[in-house]
Amino acid sequence: MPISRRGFLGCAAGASAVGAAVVTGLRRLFPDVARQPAGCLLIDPGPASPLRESVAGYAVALSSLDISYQQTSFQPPAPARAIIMPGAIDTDHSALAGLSEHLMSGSIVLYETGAAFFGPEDFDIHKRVIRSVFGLSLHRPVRLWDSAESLKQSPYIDYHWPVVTKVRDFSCVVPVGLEGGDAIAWFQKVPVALKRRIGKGTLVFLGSPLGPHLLSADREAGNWLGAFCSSCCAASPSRIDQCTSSACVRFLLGTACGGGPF
Amino acid sequence: MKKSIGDNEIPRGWSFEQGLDLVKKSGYDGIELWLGEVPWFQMSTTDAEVRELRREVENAGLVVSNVSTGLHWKNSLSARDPKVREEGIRIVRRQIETAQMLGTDAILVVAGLVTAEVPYNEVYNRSVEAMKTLGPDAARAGVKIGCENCNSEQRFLMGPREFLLFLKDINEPSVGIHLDVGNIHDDGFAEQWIEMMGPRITRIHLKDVMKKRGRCGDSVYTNIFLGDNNWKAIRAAMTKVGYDGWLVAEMERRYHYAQDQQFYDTAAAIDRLIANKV
Repeated sequence: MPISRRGFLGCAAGASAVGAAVVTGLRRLFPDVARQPAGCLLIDPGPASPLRESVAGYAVALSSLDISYQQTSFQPPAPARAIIMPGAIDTDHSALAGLSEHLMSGSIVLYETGAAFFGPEDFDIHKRVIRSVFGLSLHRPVRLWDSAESLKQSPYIDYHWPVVTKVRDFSCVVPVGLEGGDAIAWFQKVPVALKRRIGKGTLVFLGSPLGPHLLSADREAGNWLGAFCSSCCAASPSRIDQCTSSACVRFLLGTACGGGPF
Repeated sequence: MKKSIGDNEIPRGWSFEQGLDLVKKSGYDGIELWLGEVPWFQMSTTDAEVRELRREVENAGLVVSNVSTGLHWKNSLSARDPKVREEGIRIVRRQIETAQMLGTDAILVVAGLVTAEVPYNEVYNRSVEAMKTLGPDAARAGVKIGCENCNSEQRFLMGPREFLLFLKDINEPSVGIHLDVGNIHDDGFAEQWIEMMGPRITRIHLKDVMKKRGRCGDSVYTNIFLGDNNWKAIRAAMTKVGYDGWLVAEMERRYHYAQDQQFYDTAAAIDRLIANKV
């Protein structure tokens, strides 16, 4: 039966809502089971996020990569092997503290900040919280289209991990300091994304949003996410060659690729 | 068919009342009101003041043909910044409200804006989403949203098939096209747009275009019958699709002298177009 994109998205949204309700119910009934790590969680930052469309982008892209995920607005999220936080706007230390615990116990967290569109006051709070919880230093957002240079050439973001690719800018970037982390993307010579081991887990912090590009079917952004998901399996060298999408599904469901991430 | 002209054509320094008098004397049936482009009709204009505008229009023996705006060039519905998009949505909602108050059933919206910074695919998705959001509001108010084809200026929805796909993706009966026959430059033929859009046309903007010259001077646009549009074909296409609605003059190129004369000349040209004496 043919299904329109709108119909599909509607069903997906409905399924997510149903899924979240089921998870909530299971948590009440089986608290021990609820403590077991889930596969992949996609955290909806809620209507306050200036990058609301980003979560939709990740949802569409994960579906097209055949990767199972649960979309939830739980904050702090439940334990999971992989936690994706698009357009995140955390200004509350306690909410992120739960995430930090999951990192310590081995989760992979993809944290895409939505702070580029913050006002200065909110950004300063966000910056302090990120510093406090993840130990990352953020710099003030940089508008990429204010210089004459940008009019001569589109300001692409150069990713060097997990795949070398160029992704279109999203007007503003949040530069990151490199203390304790490895830069994975630059705008010109400014690092705008990094990965960092925290406990047994890994934090991947994006200062330039990918979600909106995923929503508009940007090929390079999709490749980056696909490579990221594949990298989730790469900790066990013997399984690198098996890291197809379906292997990722098993990994993210917690049924394969038993090694620690990255 | 009925003739209308925008209140933004009223010569600068003239009052709304003087403008209405000119519009009536030069033979139009209605007036297009431009939200945000004339002192008497701004986002800050109160409901009571909007009703007063309607009273003035009706006292002049006219009706409001539609509510348009150019505010979306600055507050685009497809902007990356959600605050800008929210403002764009607020403007459309005000257009819908004022259309109801002014007794008309159509508004003009510039639905998306492709720029060097904001690429086409993003603009497409956000524009569709915005129209899906606004379509039900418009339907409840009994108003049709006409997305204007500003082909070259928007760098968006350049061809009629693409525009049809856009309307199909929106899938809201209250969202159609406000077709500007002058906006199709050297990239198509207005008559083919009319044929393909048919019942989805909410209003038609009339002006002529110098297709071969491009935007080399102060404007690529000119008065009706002075440019390169095939007006016989345009008129025939209107008949073919049964378009019997408003023809709204949008003269971007203004007379340098005797500005009121342009109202009379344009009205006469539209009369000949309606009478099919082209």
